Amino acid sequence: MTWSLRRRGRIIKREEENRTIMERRLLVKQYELLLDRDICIGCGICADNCPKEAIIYSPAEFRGIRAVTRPSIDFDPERCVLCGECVSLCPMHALQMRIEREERVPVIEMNVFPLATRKRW
Amino acid sequence: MGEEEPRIGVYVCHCGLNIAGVVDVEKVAREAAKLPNVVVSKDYRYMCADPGQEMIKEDIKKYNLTRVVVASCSPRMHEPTFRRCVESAGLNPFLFEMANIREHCSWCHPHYPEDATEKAIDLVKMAVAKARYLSPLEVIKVPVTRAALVIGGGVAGIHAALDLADMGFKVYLVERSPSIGGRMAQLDKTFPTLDCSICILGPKMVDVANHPNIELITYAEVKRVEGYIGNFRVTVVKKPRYVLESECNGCGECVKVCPVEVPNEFDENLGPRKAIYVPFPQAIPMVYTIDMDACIECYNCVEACKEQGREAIDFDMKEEEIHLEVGTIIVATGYDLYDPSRVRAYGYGLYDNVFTAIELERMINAAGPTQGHVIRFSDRRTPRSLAFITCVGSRDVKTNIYCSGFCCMYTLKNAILLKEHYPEMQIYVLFMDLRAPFKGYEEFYRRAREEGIIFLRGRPTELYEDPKTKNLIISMENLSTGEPMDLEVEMVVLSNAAVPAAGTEELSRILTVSRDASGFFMEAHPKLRPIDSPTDGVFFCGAAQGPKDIPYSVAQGSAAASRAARIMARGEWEIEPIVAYVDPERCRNTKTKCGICATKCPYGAITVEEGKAAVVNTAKCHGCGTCAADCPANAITQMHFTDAQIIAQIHAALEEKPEEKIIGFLCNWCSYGAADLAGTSRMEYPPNIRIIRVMCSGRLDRDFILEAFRKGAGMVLASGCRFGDCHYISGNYNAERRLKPLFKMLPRFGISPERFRLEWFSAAEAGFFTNLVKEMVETLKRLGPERIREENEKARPFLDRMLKHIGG
Repeated sequence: MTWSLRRRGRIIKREEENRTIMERRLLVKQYELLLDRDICIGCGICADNCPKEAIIYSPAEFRGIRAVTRPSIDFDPERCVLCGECVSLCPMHALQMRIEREERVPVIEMNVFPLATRKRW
Repeated sequence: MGEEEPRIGVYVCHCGLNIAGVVDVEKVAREAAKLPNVVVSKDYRYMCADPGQEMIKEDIKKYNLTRVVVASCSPRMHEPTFRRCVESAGLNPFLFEMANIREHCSWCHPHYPEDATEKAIDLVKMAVAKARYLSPLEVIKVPVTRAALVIGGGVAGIHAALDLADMGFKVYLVERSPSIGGRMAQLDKTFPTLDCSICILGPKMVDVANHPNIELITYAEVKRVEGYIGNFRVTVVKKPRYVLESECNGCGECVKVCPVEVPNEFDENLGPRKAIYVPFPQAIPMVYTIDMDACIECYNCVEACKEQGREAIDFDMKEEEIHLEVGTIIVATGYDLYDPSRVRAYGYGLYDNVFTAIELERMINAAGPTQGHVIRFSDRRTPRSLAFITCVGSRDVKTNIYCSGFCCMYTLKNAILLKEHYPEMQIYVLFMDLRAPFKGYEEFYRRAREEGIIFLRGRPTELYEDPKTKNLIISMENLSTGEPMDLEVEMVVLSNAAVPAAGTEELSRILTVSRDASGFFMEAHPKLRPIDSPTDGVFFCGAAQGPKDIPYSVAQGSAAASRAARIMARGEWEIEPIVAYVDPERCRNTKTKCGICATKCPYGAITVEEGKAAVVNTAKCHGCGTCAADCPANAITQMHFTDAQIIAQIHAALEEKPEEKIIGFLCNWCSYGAADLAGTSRMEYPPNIRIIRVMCSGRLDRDFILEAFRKGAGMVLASGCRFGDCHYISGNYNAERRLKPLFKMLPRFGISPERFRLEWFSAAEAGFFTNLVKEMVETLKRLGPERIREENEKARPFLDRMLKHIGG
């Protein structure tokens, strides 16, 4: 792990088996955003709707007409603000958010649904 | 020169033994008496003292003197004193010239009294030569805007602003963050009285907000400063906070509905804040700010605000430029803390339970993220043992050499506070030296010792974490016993040093003021002008100028206010008439399209109209002399630093044994300052150099360097401020452009290019200057006088042809 990533309050991204974990540890509060890569089908709904454009979508790679890799998503820890928008939208329930180890989604709790795509329309 | 022959009086100062202890002052005075036009030459113990000044005044009347030369200290020190002296005797103050035989001579060559005496004679000779060509000048009076700009709303800036506002001046207080308060607002208690920090600062912040004479501009930065003392034009860029300051009443309903949480910088990122926030409950102004980096634009806050019957939130807000006109500027930008993750041995950022002092400060503060509980990162448990490590990022050649000053005291304060909160906790302070020099501080240290805090002397060499318990094991040498030891504690707090605030470098460029070797702003004089910057009308206070504790910062804030008021109270100010003047007879622009001077002037002070001679706007002219050096027709004169004066100095310096001498052209602000500092610091270097002061390296005409070689100089040094530090914005760039070609030109005449040096260094770099002179003297010795004479002979016909216009 590089030194700069360990500064206070930064989101740290790590891979664990088939999961990608985005974690922010504050002294008094801990946040996690988890992606289960086994479940994710790479539909890209989260990437289209992320209000901070923090989800990077990689389309499937083709060799001829055969897909050799599945489409997938990845996070940009510098942009993500852990709002939980992606979690609330995921049709496969591949994303999960935990605050203090408890499953919580801030945007649902606050009853909001920001539209990032509004900018593109 | 006037029609009459000048009548010069020379006065050689002993400065006690400062000069007379090395230089044979009587001999200098005797030699000076032999110089042409010198009517009287005397030496005296202290020229600057009353009897010394009286002597000059009497002589001016008795001998009908028309020029006065004082050989004493640096003109940066006493030039104003003697100018006033000759003026009171009826002589124009600009008919006075100074020879610096203390900083540039006696203090630097204590082991070569004979050489030093010879150098002093040369310096006097040069001053006399210049004095012959001096002409009387009238000071220029400029109006002063009765308003001040204070940059930075910490405790120093707040006091400066309040004092000025109470005196009746308009004050604009510009703060970069959303609230004023600065570092002091973050602190829990203050040493040595353990007063609650925000409880004593809060009321002052409210005073600022309510004062009719203060206009508070928060969340804004100074982008541009133009003009000069009394007449600064400032451009401030106000960042959009997306909340209307006029509408927001600080109710905080918006915060409750904001879904985004990000780390709070004010809490050192230990706890969260929302995307819409005030940094702390006592913030001034009590207006919310939306952090657009975090906002997801859900507009929940807009709804919440509407429910309160207000429409304070405006997502269309744009960056705004504010233009201010002020007479004076006070810089109170404070400090940042050293990033301890750079000292890898202490594991900050790597090990969970290593904290910085300011993080502990937020933790122990009842209003902080933990409500006053000190807890570990790994298990959120209060540690049973804790060690403070001092001097992190200070007093170490690998990080910063300087002592950060207040770290010892805040370490003691934190230790005592912890002991109060948790009497059972084992507290260690690992220190190199403990410094507690001011009122009540040593008593505070004694109290800490009495309360059972354990002080261990030694610098920890390494620190590692027990992976199971997350405790920390510190390896150090206990200097009291001389034994290596390991100390296991549950938490470590690093007392990290103060470093210049982010943006100090940029601001120094905007204001054209210099910084010292540590990066803090540099004062005009370390002893007698600690508040003034080298730029007239700009002042420093607080930690912007170097690490300072609260009482010191407050005192400086008030001091800066009084320095600024001194200028504004008068309503007008006198500026030195060392401005440029264009001779309309010689200006080429009347015949052909020229205008070079206008393009080179860093202040846009020259106007050129087609077919007419260029005109200098004297109020705008700062007197760098760049235009004078660049004028192809030699039509521009910089008053008090004319071509004739400088060439006379070159000639005087090279009258005897020129091949052994180095002519040094030094700019007043940086390189001359460095040479002065070398003297004040008693750094020794060989006495071969003869220094000619110019206001800016931009003044250095190529002819000056060539003339020095024509007169047989061994070597020539041209120097100025480091790039970006020029006091006249771009003078040194112009100097470089003009003088660099000499390295190619000189060999064509037969002169070795290493005999010319072009160097840039700041006023703090005395060591650089002394090493440079030593190096140059080495070169001089390596080449030898024979070869230098030979080269000069070879070059003379070329140089004679090139310098025909100078004559001689």
